[in-house]
This record gives sequence, C-alpha cells and structure tokens, in this order.
Amino acid sequence: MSEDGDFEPIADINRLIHEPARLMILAHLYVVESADFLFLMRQTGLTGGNLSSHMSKLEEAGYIKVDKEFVGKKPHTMLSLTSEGRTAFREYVQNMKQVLNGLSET
Amino acid sequence: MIKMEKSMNEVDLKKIEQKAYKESMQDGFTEIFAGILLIGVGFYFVVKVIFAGILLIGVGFYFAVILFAVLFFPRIVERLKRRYTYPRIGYAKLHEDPPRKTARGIFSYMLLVIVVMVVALFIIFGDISADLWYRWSPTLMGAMLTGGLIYLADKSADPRYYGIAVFGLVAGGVLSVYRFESTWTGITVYLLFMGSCFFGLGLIRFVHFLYEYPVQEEITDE
Repeated sequence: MSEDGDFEPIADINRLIHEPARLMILAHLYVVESADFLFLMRQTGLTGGNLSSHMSKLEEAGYIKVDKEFVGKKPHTMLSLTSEGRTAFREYVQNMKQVLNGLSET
Repeated sequence: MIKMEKSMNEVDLKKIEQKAYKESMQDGFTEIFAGILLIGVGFYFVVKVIFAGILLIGVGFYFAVILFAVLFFPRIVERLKRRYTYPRIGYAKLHEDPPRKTARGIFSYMLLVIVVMVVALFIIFGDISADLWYRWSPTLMGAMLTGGLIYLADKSADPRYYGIAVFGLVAGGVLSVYRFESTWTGITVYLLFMGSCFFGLGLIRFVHFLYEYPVQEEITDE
C-alpha cells in the first residue's frame, strides 16, 4: 500500500472470484483445458448442488463456458474457462499479490 | 487454497495441475500399454534370432509394432478410459505441450543419451565396436526410459516414477555387465523383463483403481 494508506487494491478484489468455492473452481479450470462436472466435484470437494450453484454464477459472469451433452443416455457437463475468465483470474491473482505484499510491509 | 505470496501462487497452481495429471494416470493404462510396447519390441529380437538371415521379416515386424503402437494405442487407451476411467473419476482435458516442442525434447534427450554413452564407452573401453554397443544397449534403453519416467514424475509429482526409473537403469546395467552367449540376449531379456514389469504394474493399478473408485451414480448439475 502507498504511504497514504491507499486501499484501492483491496477495494478492487473481484468478489465473484474471491469466494473460496468459486476460487477453487476457477483455479482447477485454469490448469486444464476443460473438465467435466464429476472431475471438478471430486477435485474441489464440493457437493453437486454447491458446485452447480457456483457454476451458474460464474457462467452468468461469462467466466466459464458450460457445454451439456448426452453420452449414451447419461447427461454430461463439460466446463472450461472463457478467455474473459482467464484474464479475470490472472488479474485477481495479481491484485491479491499486491494486497498481500502491501499488508506484509505494515 | 491458493496462496498469494510472491511466487507461491504459481507453485500451488502447479500442484493443482500435477494432481490433475496424477489423477488421470491412476488407472494404469499408461503402464499397461508401455509394457505391451516393450514386450512387442522385445519379441522383434526373438523373431530376429529365430529368423536369422530373413532380415526383412524382422525389420518389417519391428516397424509394424511401432506403427501399430503410434497409430492405435492412443485411440485404444481413450476408448478404455471412456469405459472404465471417466465414469469413475471424471474427465479433464489436460494442457499438452505443442507436438513440435515434445518431439524436439524427445529427440534432444535421446541424442544426449547416445552421446554420453558413446563417450563413456570410449573412455572405459577405449574402443566402440558393434558388439560392445549391442552389449550395452540394455543400459542405453534404461537411460531412454529414465527420461520418459522423469517426465511423468515431474508432470504428476508422483515419486514412484523416479523409483521405476532407477530400477530400469540398474536392470539395464546388470544385463549389460552380465556376459550372455549372444550379443542380442541382453537387450531381448531387458525389453521382455521391463515390459512384463510395466504390464504387471499397470494391471495391478487398474484392478486397484476399479476397486477404489466405483462407477459414480448419475451426477449432473441439474
């Protein structure tokens, strides 16, 4: 933080991403090209309902793309980050670095 | 959870990626098909001995095995994963290195290993004959496998691959030092032995995987 105690980096934290469950979802999608619902559920430890709820919010924000199809008779959902989502995630990481670096200087 | 300290966020994202890679490897298919490939190539040398003099058949068999492996193994593995792996642990399309970069890396590593072997043999024996080269081909093969296994260990953060690499290298060394009657016996035994080990290990992992991860009931986001 600046000498004037500028809290702009904290104020700029992306609240949509900052929620722990959504942060986990985006982090896992960031390191893969795409993943299905079951994979994300197992990796994040979220319940199906929880994951579905956060997934909807991220999709509404345009951060993830959700493709639904049928494999045989079973519904299958694939998720991937959009380019906007990748950018937002990277910006979030940069912003949090600034925040934490600023805090560590106090 | 991601740590935001300087350079730590990259480290933890790397761990997440490694975990995803490790997840995809636990069905044992990589080991099974690596084993089949090694056994297949090992049989080339058996065929070569049996059909000594009918060189074309031996060479043709060798190339047929390699071509089959390159063309069909990925498709066969994918089909098996769709049937056995994805319904149990889900599916993730992992980032892949560009094919050119991968090919360049493999070629560079193989060249490096060959150069090191040539220099080492020259220093130790003062000469490089064809017989000497064939005799030490198990060690060369072990070194080649080591590269691939270290790559897998780095990708998946699974230290077992380092252990397998060391095992493969030591096995190669032992079979190189042991004096077989024929120059080809060492490499034949090595390929068949390591192939069997890989196949067996893969099979054990597969059976364990089936037991550990039952097929998930229909999990949807509805």
